[in-house]
Amino acid sequence: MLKVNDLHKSYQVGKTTYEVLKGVSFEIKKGEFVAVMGPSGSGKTTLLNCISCYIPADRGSIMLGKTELASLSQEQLATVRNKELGFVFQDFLLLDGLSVRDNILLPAIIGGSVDPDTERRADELCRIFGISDIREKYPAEISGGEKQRTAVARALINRPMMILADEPTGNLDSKSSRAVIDSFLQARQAMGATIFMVTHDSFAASFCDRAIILRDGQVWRSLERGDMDRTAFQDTLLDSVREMGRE
Amino acid sequence: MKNFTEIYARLRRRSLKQYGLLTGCCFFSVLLITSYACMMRSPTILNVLPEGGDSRKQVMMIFVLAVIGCAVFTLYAASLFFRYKSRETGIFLALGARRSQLRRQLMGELALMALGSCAAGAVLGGPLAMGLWQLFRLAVVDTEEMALSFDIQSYGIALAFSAFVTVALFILGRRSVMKTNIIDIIQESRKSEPIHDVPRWYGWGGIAMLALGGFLGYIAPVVFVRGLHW
Repeated sequence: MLKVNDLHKSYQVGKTTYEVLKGVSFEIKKGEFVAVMGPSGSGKTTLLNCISCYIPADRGSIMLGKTELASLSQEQLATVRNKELGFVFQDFLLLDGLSVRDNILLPAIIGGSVDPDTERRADELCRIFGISDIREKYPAEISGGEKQRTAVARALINRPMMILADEPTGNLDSKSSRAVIDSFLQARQAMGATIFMVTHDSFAASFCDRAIILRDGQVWRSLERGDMDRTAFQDTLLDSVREMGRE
Repeated sequence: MKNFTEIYARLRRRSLKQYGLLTGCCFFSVLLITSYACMMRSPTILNVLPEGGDSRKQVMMIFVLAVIGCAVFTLYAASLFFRYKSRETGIFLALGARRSQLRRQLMGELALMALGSCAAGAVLGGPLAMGLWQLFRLAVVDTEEMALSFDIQSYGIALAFSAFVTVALFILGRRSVMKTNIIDIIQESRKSEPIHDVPRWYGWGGIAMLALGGFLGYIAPVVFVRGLHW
């Protein structure tokens, strides 16, 4: 589904070059729910921005399905963002002037593919994520958890290959965070969604199949949940974070 | 809702204040410049002010300042509008809209706003000039020679300023779509706005500059005419 190979990315600030990603490589299979964790400055958000086609990498390759993203033009990248990827942002990024239902339909409208089927899918997504009652409300009238579930539904409207989530629980309380993680799990179960989530939150990461831990722009460790229950996996994640702090 | 144009229309209806502000600023600028140009180019007034005289120069100087002031005012209003629109633009881009798609929608909106506000300002500029002149006749002096007449050239000035407003909106609009950075929009709320202290001397400095500006304006004719012999 996604194959990242030897990815490098640096930023220039004045005369100084800061290398943020120093040869990151990993693979994500269809239907996996993967978390990327790491301390601030480890390169998580830069990695996500490269995969999201928001910024180009300096070196390395990102294969989404059979497409090499580095070889695409700006217009082709826009099409990939619209059709093949779904996005969930920390700050929800809903349009205040559109209702919940219209926000969910937005990627389909941008892609020019709204038909009765799409509208039925939007209503079905509202039902799956428990936001049918607020379909005609506006973002200013709903809670943070409801906004984020709207964002998850929006991310799924075009049946993307992969959902990219950037700290989706960062601005939410624990109850809302749990509701959003449940949305991801439902998306995986009901729709076979593949989810790639950047997070600081070990609780959120403990629901994933795998956690990739970055440090100083490189993959420090990749932890598989396997048969572990959620609490044991969270303990494993926390132990790894503690170990990283000691080194 | 089926298409992008409908989305834009709905967002516009929910942001009438921002659209109204920009349209109002463009209208007001063109109205002001048109009415001033009508007065300035009016044969009634030109007959009173001697050709090559100081009074004509002063009238022209004030007109130039008015044009500069209105231009800056319009550009500032436009920059506030596009800053407001940049969040929408960033979200559309993040969800896969093409910049050409967004540019087309925005240019269509700007064309309607610019042409509508400029046309209204130009049309109402003449009556405004007439109204102000009538007040002057009532309050100051009213003779047979005071009937205000218009010169068609004044509408040429109004047209030129309207063209400037329209072109400026298109250029700024295009630039705002091309330069909107998705990352900046995504991370906008993670940035904290720095709070700067306003030092006490700003107030005294402002009062001093007001006084200095008044004084320099008062002695400027003496300097330019007697000193530099302009």
